[in-house]
Amino acid sequence: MGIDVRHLSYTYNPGTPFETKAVDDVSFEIRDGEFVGIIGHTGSGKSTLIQHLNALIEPTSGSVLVDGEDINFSKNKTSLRRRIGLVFQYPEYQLFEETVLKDVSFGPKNIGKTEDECLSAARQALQLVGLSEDSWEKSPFELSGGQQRRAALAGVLAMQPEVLILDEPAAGLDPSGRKEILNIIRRIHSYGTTVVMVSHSMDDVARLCDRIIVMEKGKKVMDGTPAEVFSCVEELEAMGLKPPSAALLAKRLKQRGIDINDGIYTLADLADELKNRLGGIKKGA
Amino acid sequence: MLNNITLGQFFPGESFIHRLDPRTKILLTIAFLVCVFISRGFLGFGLIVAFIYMCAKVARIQLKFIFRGLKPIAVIVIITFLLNLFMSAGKDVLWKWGILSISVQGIKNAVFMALRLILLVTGTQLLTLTTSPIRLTDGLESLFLPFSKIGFPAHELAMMMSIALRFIPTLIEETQKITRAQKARGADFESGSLIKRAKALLPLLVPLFVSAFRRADELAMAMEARCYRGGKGRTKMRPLRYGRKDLYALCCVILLAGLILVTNASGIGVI
Repeated sequence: MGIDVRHLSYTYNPGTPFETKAVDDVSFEIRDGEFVGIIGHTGSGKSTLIQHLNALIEPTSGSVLVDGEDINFSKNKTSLRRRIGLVFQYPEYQLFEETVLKDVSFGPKNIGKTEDECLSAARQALQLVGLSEDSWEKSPFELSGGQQRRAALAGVLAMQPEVLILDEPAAGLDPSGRKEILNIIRRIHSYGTTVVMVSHSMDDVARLCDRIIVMEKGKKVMDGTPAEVFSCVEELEAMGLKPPSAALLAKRLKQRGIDINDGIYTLADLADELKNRLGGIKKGA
Repeated sequence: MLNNITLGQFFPGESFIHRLDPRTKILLTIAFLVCVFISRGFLGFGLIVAFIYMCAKVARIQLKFIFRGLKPIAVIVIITFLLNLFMSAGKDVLWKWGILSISVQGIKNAVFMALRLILLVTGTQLLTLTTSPIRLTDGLESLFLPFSKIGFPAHELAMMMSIALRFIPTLIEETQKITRAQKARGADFESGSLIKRAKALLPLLVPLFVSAFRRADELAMAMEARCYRGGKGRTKMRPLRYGRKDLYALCCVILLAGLILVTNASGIGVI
């Protein structure tokens, strides 16, 4: 199912001196099976934007269409929110139940599943995020930060959403926790779930996404494949965004006169490219 | 970030009233309340309305922000109005049904009492609209400091108040976020019976308490790390000082009180 965002605008505190336009006339479409990254500086409106996608915020103007229907007029918002799962930033702060298993089955319970269905959905989700069975009966507050994050993610996955939206899923985690959570997201996408991920880590976005939307001051300023977006190193830097380290390195090498193909933005690709070049030099020498 | 500035209902500005010493504003607000109470007629109220209007103009605050504060007391105003309307004893009864009766005096009383309440609230609004919560607690602390000699914990109370005020927007933001996060998991806070709705709050309250305790812990640690050890010997970055403008403000309020006393004595419009 596609999400179609049309001329979406959202203003905070309208009519007061604190009036701010958080989202300003943004349009895009998310198609089935995509892995979309949304990047932008702090305060660029990313988080506000994605909360529109499952009707948690009503737009000031513009609309969000899911399957051709404007979701703000939809009567059954709960069923919509089941289909479009949203994982907030620091989702571990929303854990509340006595046990991890109960917390994860909160979502399925709300959408009217039976006790057995809830538990089996919860177990499945917990396995998907790689939480071992001995932690299922623990209090969520006993888990480590990374485990809590995964439990909270499972809480959304247990509703089996068709589209998964994540706000900075790796924020505040140590490198190994980061890697783990990103691998889980990659796995979920490979099972056919459409994923929208907000992040300010260009490296993460470069590695995972097949399309990138860049936001600045509430406006959509770029929308394209990672190769297209990350070839605009200067523009990204002007917006205060740090391009992926591989793209930066490739650009520096090019400035030094080393001929490198355009559109390289991951370390693996850059390594391959350099290997080819060096290999070529050796042969020639 | 946004919410840090919208603390309470403070309306930032650089006007004469904004720049008054908070102590002056607190004391003059009390004097203003006394004015409202000593006024015995509608002419006095007219003066008070003019005074509030003038202050709002000087502070460049739109009147709608002042009236916004009336919403929470609307019910009290209406109840006061109705009680006075039906319960006051008067000579010329216009309408009677059982123990309920409306007299000319009753109508006058009802309007007078309702107006008095409205004026009390709109007047005090001016204080909170033009004074940042931090300045307000600073002012209160300084006013209560003399009482610390008899064991009144002025500094501690002021610190507690500033911390509480500081965290109101944070907690509101947090509540909003958790509400949305649970809604995204299909939680329903709006429908069902009262008991069902109370139960539905649990997924909201538990995380909120957990995070409030966590924040309190972190804040205490951060304060100790910066050598906070209570109010004794603590200096201020911006010490409060009375200035000439405070004197002017005082004169204005004295003038208002004087005029009200004159209208009372003249008997025009007195109830």
